[in-house]
Amino acid sequence: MRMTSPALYSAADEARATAREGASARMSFVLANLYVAMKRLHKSLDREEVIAAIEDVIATQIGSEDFAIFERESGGEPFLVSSSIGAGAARMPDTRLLEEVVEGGAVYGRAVASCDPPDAPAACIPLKVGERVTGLIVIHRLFPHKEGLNSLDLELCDLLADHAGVALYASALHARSTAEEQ
Amino acid sequence: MSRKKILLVDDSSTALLLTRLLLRSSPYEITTARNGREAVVFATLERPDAIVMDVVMPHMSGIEACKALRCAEATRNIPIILVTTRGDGETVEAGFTSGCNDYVTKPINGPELLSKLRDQLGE
Repeated sequence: MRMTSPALYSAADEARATAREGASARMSFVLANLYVAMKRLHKSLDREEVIAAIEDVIATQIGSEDFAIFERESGGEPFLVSSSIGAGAARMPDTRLLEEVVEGGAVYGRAVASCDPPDAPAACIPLKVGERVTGLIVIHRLFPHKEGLNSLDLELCDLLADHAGVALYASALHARSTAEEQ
Repeated sequence: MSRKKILLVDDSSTALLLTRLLLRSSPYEITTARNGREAVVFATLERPDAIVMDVVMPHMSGIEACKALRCAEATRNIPIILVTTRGDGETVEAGFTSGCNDYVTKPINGPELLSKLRDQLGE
């Protein structure tokens, strides 16, 4: 009896390989974005350059031209604008959201299918040094073609929360030690 | 066979670093310029196989650079993909009027950019 050899790869194998390739490409894309953001945030100890890097990550990687960075000296003090870009940039979010983000230390981000009020910011990101919230990034609006934050944007927001505050803090320490040396 | 040369043009260090990284596994040689004026000079001298250029830049915008590249014999036929923060009809129309071949919106999506580059390079 003549035996027919089975095909080396079935259609199901090919579909699985394509799916794995797609997942791998998506993972590489996410990791590349996180690597670039991290590298930009920690490249300099100069305060102006750190602020420029934060702005660049928000504009280029998350996609917004309407946002502000706020900082405060210590726990109970008010937040002051360190940098703002766009029309409504220096506006603070409402008290409830502000308390949620500052006291909870968690990122607020409006997802693509969100029931939040349309005037709510697209994202509110606490700037943390350890457990202490030293500042905030408020992203009022995303680029017009972006309907909301996707999973990569939320990863970038988390990265900003954990690293942007530390980068600003390191730049302040550096400025202080440089001034003392002089 | 020499690798095809792609010129990336953006004033943002983040955008240049990210785009370079996203195209790292592609078979292209990547070079960069920081504004439209640098891009026109580089393209005239080096004749890249394709240009990926931001729209909003200091000194010379992507739209102005695109027009300048289309006016010169040496650079007239180089495919140009504009990178814009706005995907609305007016902005896209302005890009095509200036002579670009295609566009992508920011934030850049690596696979999308690679696919458009391949299209423009006839691959």
